[in-house]
Amino acid sequence: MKYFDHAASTCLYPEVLENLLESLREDFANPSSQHVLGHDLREKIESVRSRFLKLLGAQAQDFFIFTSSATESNNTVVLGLNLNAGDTIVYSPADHPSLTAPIENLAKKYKCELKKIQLNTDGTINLDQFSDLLSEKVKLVALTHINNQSGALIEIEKITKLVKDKTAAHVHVDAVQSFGKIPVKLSCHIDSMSITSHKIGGPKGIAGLYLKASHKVAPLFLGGGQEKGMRSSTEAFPLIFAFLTAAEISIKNREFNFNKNVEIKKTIETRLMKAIPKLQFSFQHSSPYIFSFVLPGIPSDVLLRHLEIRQVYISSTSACSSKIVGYNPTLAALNIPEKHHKNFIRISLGVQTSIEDAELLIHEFIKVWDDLKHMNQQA
Amino acid sequence: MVFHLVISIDELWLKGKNQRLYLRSAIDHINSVFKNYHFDKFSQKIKFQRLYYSSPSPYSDELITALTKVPGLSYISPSKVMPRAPNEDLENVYAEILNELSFLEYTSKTFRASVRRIDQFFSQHSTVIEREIGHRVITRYPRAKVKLQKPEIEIDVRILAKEVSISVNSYKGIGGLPWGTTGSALTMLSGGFDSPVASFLMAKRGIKQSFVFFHAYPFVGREVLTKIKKLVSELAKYQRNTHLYIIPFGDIQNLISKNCNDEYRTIFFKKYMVELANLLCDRLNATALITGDSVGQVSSQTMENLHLMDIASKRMIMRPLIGFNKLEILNCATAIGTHSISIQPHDDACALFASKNPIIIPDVDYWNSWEREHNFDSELLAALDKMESFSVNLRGEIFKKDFFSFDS
Repeated sequence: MKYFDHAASTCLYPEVLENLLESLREDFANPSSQHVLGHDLREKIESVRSRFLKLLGAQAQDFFIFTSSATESNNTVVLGLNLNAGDTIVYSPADHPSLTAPIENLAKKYKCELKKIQLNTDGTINLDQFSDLLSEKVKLVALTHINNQSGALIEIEKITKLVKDKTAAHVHVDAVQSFGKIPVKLSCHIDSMSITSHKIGGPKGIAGLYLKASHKVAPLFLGGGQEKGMRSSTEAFPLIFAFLTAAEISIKNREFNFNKNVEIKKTIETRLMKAIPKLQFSFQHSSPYIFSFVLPGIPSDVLLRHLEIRQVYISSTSACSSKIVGYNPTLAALNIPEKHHKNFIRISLGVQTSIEDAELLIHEFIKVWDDLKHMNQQA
Repeated sequence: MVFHLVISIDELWLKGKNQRLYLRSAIDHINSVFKNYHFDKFSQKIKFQRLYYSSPSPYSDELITALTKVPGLSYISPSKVMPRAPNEDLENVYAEILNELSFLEYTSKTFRASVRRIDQFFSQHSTVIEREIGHRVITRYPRAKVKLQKPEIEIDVRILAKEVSISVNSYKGIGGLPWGTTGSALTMLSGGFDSPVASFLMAKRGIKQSFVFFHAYPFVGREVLTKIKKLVSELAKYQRNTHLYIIPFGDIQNLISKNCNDEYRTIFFKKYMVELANLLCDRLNATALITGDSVGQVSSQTMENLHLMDIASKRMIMRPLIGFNKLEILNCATAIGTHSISIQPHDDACALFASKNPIIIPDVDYWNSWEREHNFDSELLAALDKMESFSVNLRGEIFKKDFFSFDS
């Protein structure tokens, strides 16, 4: 099996699985209990929390809360800011639906004004246009560090500084595809940040939300007051612990895997381009973990299924929205012409991806292309 | 109280010596519907070519709906039989009628009452009782209106020697001939609007059917199978039990399109589907194929192209929609409950491969020489080997067959 859909979800590190199993067996108590078992778990959670704050380069007084998913983290910020009619939100429709959906929904419900960030053809932010969007009325700026479809990378420090120079807006960053893969460093310009476990070798069902000490976000869930009142729910300690293990392993090997994937990506890109000149790569300034392209004439889902019977797994659009056919607003925002939305392919690498895997992908991809190109000639 | 259901059989008067066979098939089918939808004991009698069912419990809406889909039944009329009070007092009957009509509280409908005195010694005149019923209904339910011609509700009262039978509604069945009395066929489903309607029309004529779908994976995904199963689930309600066969067709389609002129792709796909369906019919002992073709609807349905399919098939191809307009087909699809399923979008491999200018009048020489030069027998048999089979009961529940068996 050759898996090239790591940006959707990736496999667990063996150490994570081991820790998880042991913790599920041993750490069954409720961290809110008064007895010593509960007390010990509470202390462990707090130490995991401060480890995460350190990994992110945050201040000790800042918040890091555990959530069930990055979707929950993004929703908590967008819905928890208590925006009112007339407030402006700056966001990009190219971002993941867990950001765009709550933002668009909120704007409709409370009559907030939406301002859309325009992207350049290479997927980076158009700085002139972006700068023009910023005014006093802007209350939230939502950014994505690495776009999950294009892999395009934004210059987070420069952009967040620009926002803070011109506005007092809350700056939220979705760092789901970057945390553990490329250096992610918090600065005083970032108010909140979402990260998740299952993209970096941890289990599903656990994610994190960084909040600056001075944040004004109200919680989504009320109840027992866990997570400093920011998310009532019994803490899933085994998942929290497994998340930390995955994060620490990822960051320890980050540079090595980054360099390895730069090479693998380059190999796949040049070899596929050579064999199939019709391929269109447009996102140059992108993460080595994600790259995407358009293959005109052949629907990407047809290609996906032909590769799947050869046990090679890729993605045609984001796994969360692959039911959408035809026009895709995310791809439109990425400047991909509508006629090519059905021809969009994403290949995403993981820490386990080897150059041999890549060779096999190239081989099978070209074989499938040869089998299907008669469809393309017609189109 | 006893609950009765009177069922009349369609077209029985047309069948001279074969009446018994037709009646038997209808009864067997009705009894299996009862076993699936009625959970109390019941008894059954045949009188004057009508079936009389009696049970201590009322008949559920699910049972009635299922019966309206049984081929060969023309009317299904539930009725209640209650003991007659002494002194020709009909108060309890009136009360029961008002009770049965409680839905008139919220809806406005037209009605009429018809009373028959089977007991000739009953002295009150029928028209007097009818007027009394009408008066009481209007007083109790001001939304109800009397209408003597074609009313929406027919209140039927029969006064017997010791009992009174009341019926407030009668349901129209689909009519036609009982299931399996005319033979068996294989219906080719595409996922569109037409083939389910074709299946329904032939079910009405008593044809026992199995269903086949050609799945062009990996050119189309697995989502379409969910849709096909939903359609078969609906169509199975017009059958007593049925089967669904899914034949992989992607490889054959790719092979054909690589080897023939673009504009012939669709009709060659169809030809090999017809051939595969015939091979399956051999195994199923089915006499005919059923398709949703309608002449001239799309390019593959010109008379010339349909004729090529007839040549490719060693069995009769039944095309009940041949003279239907699209709107007529859509209306029928709505009536039988398949419209809302067919309308859901699905991947279509034929569209994927379709030529911009598909052939309308085929060059028979090209067709024949292509046929001579290409032999896909082994590919067809391989596809049949990889076929998936499901059995479907009359509730529309689908079960995957663990091993392949043809005991349909």
